[in-house]
Formats: sequence, structure tokens, C-alpha cells
Amino acid sequence: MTAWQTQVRRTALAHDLEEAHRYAVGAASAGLQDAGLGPVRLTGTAVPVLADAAVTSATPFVRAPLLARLSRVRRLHSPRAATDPDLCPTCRVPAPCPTTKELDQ
Amino acid sequence: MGRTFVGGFESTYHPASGVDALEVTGHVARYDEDLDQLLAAGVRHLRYPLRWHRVEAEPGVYDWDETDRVLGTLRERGAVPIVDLVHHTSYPDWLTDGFRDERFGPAFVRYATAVADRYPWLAAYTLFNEPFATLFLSGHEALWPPYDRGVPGLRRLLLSVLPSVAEAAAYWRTALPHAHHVWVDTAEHHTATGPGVDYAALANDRRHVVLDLALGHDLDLGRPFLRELVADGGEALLTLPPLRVDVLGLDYYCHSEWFYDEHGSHAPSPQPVGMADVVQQYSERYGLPVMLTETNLRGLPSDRISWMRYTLEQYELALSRGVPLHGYCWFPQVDSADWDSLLARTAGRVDPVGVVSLDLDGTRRRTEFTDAWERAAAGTAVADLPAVRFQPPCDDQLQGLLPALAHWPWRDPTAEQTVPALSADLPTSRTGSPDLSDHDLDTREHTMTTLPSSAVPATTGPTQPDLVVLSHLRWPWVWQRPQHIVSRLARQRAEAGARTYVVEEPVVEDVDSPRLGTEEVDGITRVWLVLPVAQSPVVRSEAHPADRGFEDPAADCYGELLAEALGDRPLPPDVWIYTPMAIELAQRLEPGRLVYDVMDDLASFKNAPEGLVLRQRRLLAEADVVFTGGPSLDRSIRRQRSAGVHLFRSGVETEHYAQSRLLRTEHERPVAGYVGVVDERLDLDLLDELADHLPDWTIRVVGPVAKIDPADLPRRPNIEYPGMARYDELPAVMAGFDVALMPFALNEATRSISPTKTLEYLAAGLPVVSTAVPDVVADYADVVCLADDGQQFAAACRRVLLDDPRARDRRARPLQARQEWDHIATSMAGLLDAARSATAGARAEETA
Repeated sequence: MTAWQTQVRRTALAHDLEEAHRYAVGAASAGLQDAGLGPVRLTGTAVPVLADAAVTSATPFVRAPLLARLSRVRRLHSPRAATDPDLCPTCRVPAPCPTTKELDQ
Repeated sequence: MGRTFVGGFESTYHPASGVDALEVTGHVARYDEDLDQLLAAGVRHLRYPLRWHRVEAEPGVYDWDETDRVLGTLRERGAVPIVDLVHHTSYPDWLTDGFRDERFGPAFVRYATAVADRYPWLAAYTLFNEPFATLFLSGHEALWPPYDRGVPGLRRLLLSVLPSVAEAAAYWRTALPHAHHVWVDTAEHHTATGPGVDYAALANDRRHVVLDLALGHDLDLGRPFLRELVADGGEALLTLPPLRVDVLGLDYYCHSEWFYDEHGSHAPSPQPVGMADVVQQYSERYGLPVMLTETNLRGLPSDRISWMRYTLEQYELALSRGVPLHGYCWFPQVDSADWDSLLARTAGRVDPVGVVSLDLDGTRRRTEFTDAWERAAAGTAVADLPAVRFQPPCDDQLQGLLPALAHWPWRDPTAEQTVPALSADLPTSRTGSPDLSDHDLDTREHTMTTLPSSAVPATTGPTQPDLVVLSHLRWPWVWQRPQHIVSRLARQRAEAGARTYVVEEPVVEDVDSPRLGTEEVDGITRVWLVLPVAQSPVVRSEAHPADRGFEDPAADCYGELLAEALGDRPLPPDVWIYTPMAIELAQRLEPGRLVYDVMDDLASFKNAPEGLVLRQRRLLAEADVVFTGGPSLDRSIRRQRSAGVHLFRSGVETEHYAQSRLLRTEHERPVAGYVGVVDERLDLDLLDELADHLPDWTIRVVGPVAKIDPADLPRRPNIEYPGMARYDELPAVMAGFDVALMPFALNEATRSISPTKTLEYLAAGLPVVSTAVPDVVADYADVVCLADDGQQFAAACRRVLLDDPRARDRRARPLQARQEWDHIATSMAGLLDAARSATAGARAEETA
């Protein structure tokens, strides 16, 4: 493990996303070799490498719609400094509200 | 002023992972090594990041140790840092909502003020790197935190960030009045046709909005994007205190230029205006000195060399136009990491973009690009830098640039520079969309995955049988379908330890007894039977008096001699036939598999030999696999046989003909040209009429005359017949044309032709005018201008000169991709292998 890898923050979200990435690469590898592709199915040791590259480059665009919605949720539950800096404007409970805690896990 | 080289290091912080690119690329650990490399090249100026997320890991608590050490070292060593206070998402973790966090603005002003106070000696600074690009990806596209979206999202981030940048800029101007504020952002350009025009106008407005708001420049609410932003609640952005910019830093990449059409968006643009024009636009808009603060190319080292040559050439072009350019920065110095996921994942995946390459263990590795960059930094003239042809995928991405680079002394990548790419090609429908339907496979063209082989000659026995091709066309004659396919099949066979023979029709010479002539050429062995004149006295063709046919009675010995010459091989040969007249010869060779590649309706040709039709029937019945050369021919063949027939239209070696674009020179008169065999399939009256209607043009007919009397050719002062050109000469020949002709007669001989030259002309960048040959109409109506007679041809020639060549290229590209000879040959070989497996299976069943 290189130095920077020891610095990576091992949050639950990071763990979940990396696990999802591994699943996605596995599924993409299978997809690239799928018999349904007939004459264009791929085989060989390069398949997982290609699948990883494809999933990696697709990741930000695949996540964007979901992350945009979560971003809007965060805004709805972020206190406004000018009005009630300690209160969730949506839940009307002390900040951080359960929704924000869930987002920050 | 001039070509000052500037260095830089990728430093973006990933808020989710807590790691920044300076760690991932090993720059923190190898700081001295990286700096040594830069300074040794004579580069003193460099864009250098400050790591706010580490300086202020806790709110209001500043740790300057690392920054003091790094900036101190730079200063001691005579480097001039352009400090970069926030590079993309490089803000502290405690700003949990990033640029949208209410604490961001005040925190940024505090931090920027503290930097100014601590390092008053700084000569140049960038307060916020790429504010438009960063906030667009974070606020409009939801690709970076805080993942806001659309105009409201961008407006929120601008309102959060821009006032604090303005405030910080005012402080720096007071505290460091002699230091230069280098405002760095992307230099974009958007063009479009049809439905994309409005969007391109919006995007061209949007690219300027952030700097305009910061400067108070041209805040006219008639502007499409600015109007939208203000209408969404961004009025406060119109009244920011204008800040001072001393140098406008422009980041230009191949994907900085976009093109929009009915198919959507394309970047890099197939029609780029080029870096010099884009830089000039920005410079003139703002009246500021400019600097190229970032450019790179994600490619092989040889690709990066050529991109550097291009950007330096454009840099000097802009200078020559009076653009005040003050620096050239290839960014970054060392490969960056994780831009393949747009920094969504911190995975340490190396980006091949740097001056110095990065190995997985962090080792810095010099490449030929490092050498070229150092030479350029030392002042080597642009013209003395290598011009290496781009390799995939850069070759395709940068195709739009090539016309502007026609003057380069291009050379192909050497074997050491070449990295072969895998090719996996889909069968495509006529609309270019993937066609994966699994019904009626025989009625579609086939392509299949091409994987590289080791190309190591077999040292054990052959794993493929020899290939014996029986052809009525002599190998050295016009390079067409048989040569394209067989030369490729021969390479595949050679790798499998097998040989390829091309067996031609007999000739008569002054010999005593029949014997075989042979020649090793193009990776194949040519074979022909030499007969004594006395044994075959009847001349078949006045034009070629020595030629005889396979069916000549004197050639009965051909099979014996050939079988003997082939010798005993462990596998029976595959026999591949181009003329049914060779069927008896094929049978004598006892083929393992028999292939008939029907490239023409030979029976309809002038002087077709007797017995051809009957032999074709037999051949169609006996062949294991049948290939057809065009849709009309395919329909005709399927009336006689339906199973195992595969359509493979004429192909093209795009790269070969694309060279023509680089060879084009000015000539006095327009030239309409034809390349190919001159025989009964050409409409000679039409040619004559065309020359009559284009007296100010030259009509150039390049190719051998066959089967017709040369005396019948139309003769006019403006018609030229320079004779046959070799295949390798064709790009240069076509470079002398302005319009390409396909003046085929519409007769029995052309009813089924599918002219190979259509795509060859298009690959050479030429507009094509053709008669309405059925297969041309069916396949190429979108890219070829159709005309019926000499008068219409003349009008069409004048008209197509005004066509947009890039639009034509775009329409032709899917056809070319579908019909590359490499794919065709590989697909044919695959079908042949499948036929062999089927045959072997059937035999096994028979013997069971």
C-alpha cells in the first residue's frame, strides 16, 4: 500500500461506493463476455481491465442524477445562518437533523 | 513576451476521500526530484498549489509549516511560483457543503488574506483556479461536490463564491500591488449546425459569464445565458465590485471545442477553429495579456509530442497576429491521476498526460515526450519538433485538426512508439446504429472482434491450412478487392505457419514445355502457368496477346503442376476462387474448404468466357462459403443459393487514402478525375460530353485500358489519360483532383457493381459525382452527388466544389468504419473457420 492509500478516509459511504464499484466491474466483465453479444463478445485477461476502465469513466455521470437529488435534500435540511442557525429548516428540530446525519454517514 | 515555458503540478483535493493529487502522484514525497527536472530544463515559472485543506484543517487554525518550506525552497532556487490558492475542490473538510456552504465565502477571504500577509514577496497568484469550469461541474452538472444542478445550482455557487473572490482580489491588490493576478479558466469554443445552433450560442455566452461578472464586463441582459442566470435570482451578481486581472490564463485542450448537430454534442469538435483563434477571441474580448496556463493531451508520448507541436505552432501564430501571449504551460509536469473518473474515485489510476510519466509505484519515467518538451523549453523551433501521426484514439479525436496540419512533415510512429489497440467492431445497420438482431444472419454483413496475435512464426506445424487463391486478375495489376483481402488473410496465415498462393491465369512464352512461374511479393507467392506458344496458339485478347484462360485446353496440366508445387501438407488447402473458370483447377487441389468470393457479375462483362455461367452454378452449389461484393450482386446470387452467402461490400483502407489530404497542392485549373480500370463499364460518351461542358477544367482518367479499343476513348484537349497508377501512388494522384468521378454506363455490366472507389475517393477528402449505379444509389446517396449525363455531371462538378468537406466527412465516417478492409478480412476468416468447424463436425458424424 502506498502512502496516499493509508490516508484515504474509510467512511461508510466510501466503503459502500467502492463495493458498488467492484460489483459493477464484475457485472461489466460478464457483460462484455456475454454470449448474447455473439460475434462481438470479448474474452481474455484484458476484459476485467477494460470493464474497470469503462465503469470508472462512467461513474461520475451515472451517479450525477442521484447525487444531485441528495444535494437538494441536504439543502432542505441545512440551517440558515441568517434565521435559525441551529435549526433544521425542514424538520424544525435541532441541527443536524436525522436526515443530515444519514447523509453524513 | 514570447515563448516562456511554465510548469505545473496537478493538486486537486478529493473531499470525499481526504486525499489530494499531490499525494497520489507522489509529488509530496518526490518534491525535490520534480523540481530538479523542471529547473534543469531552464523553466523558472510554475503554477504551484497551496493546500488550503491542510493549511486550515481546523477552522481558523493555520498550519504554515509545509507551505513555508515549499515556497521557501522555490524562492531560494530562483523559481517564480504563480501560487494557486484553491484548485477545483481543494477546500477544507469542515466546509461540509463545499462551495455552497455558508461558511465558504468568509473562510476563503480569511485564508486568502492570511496568504497575502505571510508571503508578500509573491510575484503572481491565482486566487481561484478555473472558477467557471469548477463551479459549472459542481453547480450545474452535479459531477463534483456539492453536486448542485442546473442554472439554479450554478447561481447558488456563484453567489457563494464570487463575492469572496472579489473581496480577496481587492485585498491582494492592496497588499501586493506589484504581484500579477493570473485569472485562470477554460478557453472554450462552441459551433453548431441545425438544431444545435441555439445551444452553441448559449454555451458561447456561458463560457464568459463568470469572468464578465467578476470584471463587470458586458453585463448586457440581452445575452442568453446571463439573462437566464439573472432571471433565476442572480441579480446580485451584476453589482459585484469589479476585480483586477493582470493576466488572463487560458486552459485549452482538444475537448475545449465542442460541436453540436442533429446527433447531439461532439468534443473534440470535428470542426475546430484552432487554439490561435480561440486565444485571440478571449484576448480581444478582454483586452488583457494572456497566458496558456494549461494544455495537454491524454495520449501516448508520441501523441503528446504532436499535440505540443500543434499548440506551440498555434501559440506562435497567435503571437504573429499581435496577441500578447506571455507563457506556455504544459500541465501537468508529472502524470496526474483519476481524471478518468473526473475525480469521482481516488483510485490512483494514472492519467497519461504529463511531461514526465508516472509508474504505478510512483517512479518518474522519462519518455520521448520528456525529451521533446525539454528541447522545446530550450528554444528548439517548432518546425524542428517531430510530427508523428496520432495513434488511436487521438487520431480519430483530432481528425478535424488535420487539414490545418497538411503542411507538417508527418511520419508514422516507429515500431517502438506504436501501441496496437484492440478493435471490436459491431455490425452496423445503414443508419450506423448497432445491429445486434440475431435473425437471418446470412443476409447481413458480418464483422467480428479482432484481437492481436503474437505474430510469432510457428515453429511447430501449421495451425491453419495453406490458402490458394485462384484469380482472373493479375496480382500486380490494379490493387482492388482480391489484393486487399488476400494480403490480409496472408498475414493471418503466416502467423499460423501457413502459406498463401495467388494462382493466376496462364500465359504463353517461348518455352519448350509447360512450367510454373513464381514470384514472392506482398507476403504472397504469385504462381502462373507458362505454356509453349505452339500448344496454345489462339489469342484471347488483342490487348494482352500472351494471356490465356484457366479453361484453355493446354492448361490441363495446371492442376498437376500446382499440386506438386504445393507439396504434401498436414492440412488440405483452403481454396478461394474469384472466377468460376477456375473450378476444375480448384477441384484438383482437393480443398479442405472451398470459398467463392463473388466480386463482380463476370457473366455480364464484355468478352465473358463461354461456360462461365454453368461453372458458376456448379461453384455456388459446391462452395462451403460464398461472399458477395455488393447488395445487387448479393440479391442475384441468392436467387441461386441462399445458405452460407455473406454480403461484404467493397471496403476501404481509409488511412491510406487520407494521406491524400496532406498532399493537396494548388493547381491552375480545376481537375475532375477518375481512378480505375477503363473498360466497357465507363460511359465514354458521358466523359466526352463532360469535357465539352467543362472547357476550363481538366478531366483526368487514371488507369489501364482493358477490353476496349484505346481508339474509342474520347479525345479532347482537356482530357488526360496518364495510364495506370500503383496503389501506393493513388493518394498523390487523388491529391491532384478537385472532384472525383464515377462515370459508369448504366448497362448489364454495371447492374451489380459496387464500386470500391466510392469510399476511397471519400477517404481522400474528395466530393464524388456518379451515375445512378444501383448500389451507389442504395449505399451512398447521402455522400455522393448523382447525375445522369455529361451536362448534369458538369453542373454537379461545379456545385460540389462549394460543399462543406467536413459535413461530407461526417456523413462518410460511419460507412468507412463499417467497411475497413481489416474488419472485412477478419470477418471473412472467421466465417471460413466456422465453416471448417461445421465441416469437421459433419465428417465426425459421418464416421461415428
